[in-house]
Amino acid sequence: MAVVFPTAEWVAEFKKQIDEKPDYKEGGKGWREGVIVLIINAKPQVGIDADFNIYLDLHEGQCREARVCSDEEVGDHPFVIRGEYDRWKLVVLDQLEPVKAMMQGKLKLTGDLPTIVRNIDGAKTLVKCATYVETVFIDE
Amino acid sequence: MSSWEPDSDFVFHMPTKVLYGPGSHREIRAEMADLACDRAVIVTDRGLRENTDLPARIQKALGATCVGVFDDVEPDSRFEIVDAGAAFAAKLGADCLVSVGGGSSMDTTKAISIVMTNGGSIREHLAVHALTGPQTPHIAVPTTAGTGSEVTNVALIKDEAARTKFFVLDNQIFPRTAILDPTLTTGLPAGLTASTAMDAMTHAIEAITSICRNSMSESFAVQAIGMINGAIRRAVEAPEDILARGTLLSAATMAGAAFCNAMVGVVHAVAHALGGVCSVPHGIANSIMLPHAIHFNAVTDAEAYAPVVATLGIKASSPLAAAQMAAARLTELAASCGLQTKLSQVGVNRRQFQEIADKAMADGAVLNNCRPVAGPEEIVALLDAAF
Repeated sequence: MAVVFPTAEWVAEFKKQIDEKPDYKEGGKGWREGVIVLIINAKPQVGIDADFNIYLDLHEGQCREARVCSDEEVGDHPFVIRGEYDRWKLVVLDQLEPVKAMMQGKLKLTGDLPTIVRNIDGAKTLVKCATYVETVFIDE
Repeated sequence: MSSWEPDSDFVFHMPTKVLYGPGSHREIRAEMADLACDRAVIVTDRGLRENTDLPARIQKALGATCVGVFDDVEPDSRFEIVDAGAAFAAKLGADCLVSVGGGSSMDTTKAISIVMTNGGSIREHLAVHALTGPQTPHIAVPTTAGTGSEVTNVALIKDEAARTKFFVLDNQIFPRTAILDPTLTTGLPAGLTASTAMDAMTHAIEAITSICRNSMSESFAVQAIGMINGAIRRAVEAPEDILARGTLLSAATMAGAAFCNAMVGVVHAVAHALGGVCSVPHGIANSIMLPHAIHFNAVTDAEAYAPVVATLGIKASSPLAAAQMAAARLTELAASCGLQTKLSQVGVNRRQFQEIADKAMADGAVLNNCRPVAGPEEIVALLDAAF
């Protein structure tokens, strides 16, 4: 059943895809840095009234936890990627490569880019898992 | 002949105002007023201050609006230097930073502007496009023709302990104004003239072959290659030649605008690592590695070099042969300007190869290379070829 992006249901389905599909198990096995927070900037025009923060606790190809988190929690984590809803939508559709988007300023990274670069396969396979989610976008 | 792909997306960002002309540094106070600033701190290095009159000329042009000179910039400044510069400028109530020097002075100034605006230490701001507003205004006055930093959104800062260069990449750190005055470059020694020009040549060539290559960057880069190729020897042989100096200076800026928007590739990934591990000057590292990277890349993507080959006037039986001839031509060009062409000539030893390769593989530039780099072993092979 299709789930709406971005919602807690979508995040749960995303985790399920990470857990079930082989992509991230292989691509993310080098990641030992723990939590990444993805922030979708508030966009009230489409129904996102506040920043939507996705907490992903990742370790060596496994997703230990995925949930929506509060703004207060965001500051505690060393890897935070922030962007406009329209950019994230393109990422989920696999039409925007996230590391290239960071370099171009389309997504904003707080954290050490070389660490992300070393784990480029992890980033790519996470996006792949997102594309497996049967998604309905909130603005459609 | 073009190598970019019209169906790929790109972003081209070039917000820096460029002011070119012999004697143009005398307009700096007016440029500062245009930015609504009236208290400038000059950021430079002690060697330039003690051995040339360049910072003094800028200080004179600024007059009473210059409230101090911070001259502790080092080649690839350390975090501590950035923080000290920010504290120095803040204490003097500066509202504008004027970098005078090469890439290290300009990059240090970009980093100082971040700390001045946001507080804390530069260590807390090592991010990618995370700044949320304008930073302390920065006027860049390059005294070398190579880095292109006067029109880029990146600042490289060295962590001495980790022997690694970190960078801040952010559209908020473009200098507001770049003053290109070729009279400020006539005193540049021959070796630095050549190595910085080859740095610019590398920027241009990697911008053309990067996977992020695009039509606008390519137009800047192709023009820059032709200008550098035509002027480098003259500037080395006749340092007072303003035409040659001005050609290199404007070409370096154009190459900077090109790579800022198209990114660079494996040459820069390795050069950054050579700088971090072995302290090889950036321009020399680029100059040595460039021909070897062309050989490496051309095996799978010789067509990417078509604009380079055409600009250098090379004709060959195939794209691969043409790229290989371009590599040979660039080696000859560097050697004819008195530059080293092997890593063994610049203090690198083979025992450092693995560390260099590992650092190069973690450098963002490697992702943009036209031939995907499979792993550190391919970097080691490149280093071996360049040794």
